[in-house]
Amino acid sequence: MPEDDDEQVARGPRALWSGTISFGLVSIPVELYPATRTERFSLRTLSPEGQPLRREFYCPAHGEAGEAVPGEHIVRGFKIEEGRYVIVTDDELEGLAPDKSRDIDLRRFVPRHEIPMASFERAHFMTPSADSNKAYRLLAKTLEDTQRVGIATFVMRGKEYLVAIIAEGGLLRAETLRFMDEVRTPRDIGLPEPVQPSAERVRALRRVCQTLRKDDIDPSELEDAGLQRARALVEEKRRREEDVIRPAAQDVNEGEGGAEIIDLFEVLKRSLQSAQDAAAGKEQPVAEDKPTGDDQPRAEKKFSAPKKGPHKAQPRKPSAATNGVGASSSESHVDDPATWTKKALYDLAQELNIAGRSQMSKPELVKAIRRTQSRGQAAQERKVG
Amino acid sequence: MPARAMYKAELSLGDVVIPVKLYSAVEDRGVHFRLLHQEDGVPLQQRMTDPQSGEVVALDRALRGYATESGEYVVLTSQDQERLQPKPTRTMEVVRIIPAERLGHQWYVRPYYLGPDGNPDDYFALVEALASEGGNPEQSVEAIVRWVMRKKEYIGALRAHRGYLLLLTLRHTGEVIEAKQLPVPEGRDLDPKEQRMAAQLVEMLAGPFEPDAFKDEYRQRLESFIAEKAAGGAIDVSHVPRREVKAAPSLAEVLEASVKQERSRKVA
Repeated sequence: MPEDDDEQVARGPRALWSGTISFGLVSIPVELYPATRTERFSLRTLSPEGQPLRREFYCPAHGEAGEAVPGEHIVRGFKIEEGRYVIVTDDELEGLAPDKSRDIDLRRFVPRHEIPMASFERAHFMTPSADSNKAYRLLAKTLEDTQRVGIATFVMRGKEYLVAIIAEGGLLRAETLRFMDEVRTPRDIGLPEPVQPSAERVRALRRVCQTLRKDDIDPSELEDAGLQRARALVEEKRRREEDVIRPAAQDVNEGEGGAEIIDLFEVLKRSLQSAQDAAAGKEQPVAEDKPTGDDQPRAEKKFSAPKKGPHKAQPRKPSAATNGVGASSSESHVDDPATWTKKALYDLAQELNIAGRSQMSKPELVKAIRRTQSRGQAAQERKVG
Repeated sequence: MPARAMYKAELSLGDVVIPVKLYSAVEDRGVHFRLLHQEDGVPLQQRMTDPQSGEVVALDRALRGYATESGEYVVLTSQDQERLQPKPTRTMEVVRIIPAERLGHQWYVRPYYLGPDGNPDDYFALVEALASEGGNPEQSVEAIVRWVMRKKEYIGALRAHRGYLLLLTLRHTGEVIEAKQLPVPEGRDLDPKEQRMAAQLVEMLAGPFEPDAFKDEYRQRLESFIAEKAAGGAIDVSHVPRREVKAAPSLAEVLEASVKQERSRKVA
């Protein structure tokens, strides 16, 4: 029930992918965000004195008290038989990985209800960029009107996914699908052939169903009772000051405390809103943005944004980030990220695609941004065409 | 090869009890690796150490603690942890019946099939009752069920699928972001001409869902690479060329060109 929290995985909302939906010759730049978040009750493993412990690897051939094996001495093996492994290196994996592509090419539109429920793996929301607002809305409206979903494959984080692009309520969702050989059919499982139930039995079950029938479900019926019990127990013990320990030394991974974790919902809302704000007032039907000189004014606008607070111009622009690095040296009023608000820093970190940003404190964000900017390679990945 | 049941339950619907078996509807095709020690190829194991003293702490001596925002830990004893576990039960209770399309896809986690355990009559009667509420095939419903499996509480949606009961585990409130909570991108009214062309383009690319047409090519490459390496054969890691994305002047023009392109493709 309680889960392990010993591995300090950076969690938090960030665009999982940014790229382009191609629809005929129309290209729609979008960002992909998860549509779900995990609420976990996680526990750390502590020493008897209350010190958070670290997980490490050791080689049983050298005994249980042998040295820890550092990362550079760990290799990845695929077991072919007992005691025999094929070693696969990082380079080999990388060579096998699909080429990075920034494209979801919609070549097939299928009736919405033809995709079996068992195929759906994970839902994501897609948000438009300012320039793609109109094309995004057009695709969403068309899919809703035709009751069809777009099917494509695309590459995210070194893995190829089958994806269904579904429109609902004016928003586009990208739902990854399981490949056909990952989904079992009743026949694969060996379920017995259906028998014709007696009409009387069917009627009886329909009557029982009627008694439990409601048009909607109350969110309280979907609450995680186990999570709530666990949280209540922790609160109760805290109040009674029972089994509460304060470790002598802070864990390095624990951060400096109070690191703000920005909620996924807020990030999505902002992302949708900013595309809209930027699109308002200007008709920008160009399907694909090219890194041209025209982008310069917008890059400047973006970089003065931290001073203006939440009304950021727009949070993505393949060329803007590179231009921005140059721009920041010519614009004295924004050259020092250390003077920015945490939110502005977070937004920029997101733009620069800095991993683990949601877990970073303000000084950490500043450091990571400076590092990335000096490398000047932030936009490299995001360039399209 | 028939799959093995993961679990047996008593599906309870009002005062009706239907014994069922639960099967995973997902086949794990992932390529799994072990972490090995480079110098001797021995599979590594994990242990917990105190980062301050470097001392290895055996798990039976270790405590489990919940980190509070103030940097303290609230320790949960093994009795506490036991208390938090749900009571073991075989009952899978139907708590609610709702229209089948009420919950968005975001809610669903993982599919399972239920199969009859013993007398199939009630099982297939329930399939029919869920498939068509009041005999109307347009109105299918799903049953929200709760159960405990392997010391964990689950909530799921049970629906009729191709003559059988498909069970989809559900996320909990708070884990799902719904479209209706989010602002909808807005702007000037869409041009009717563009809308017509976009619909035309979708119709030109319309077709049935053919999941067979898509393969996990990365996995296939990885599997054959491993097989070759195991056999000591030559290894060829080749790349797929990147596709160019072209810029285009206006949405209407691009749509028109797209429609034309599809048309010529159809004729050719």
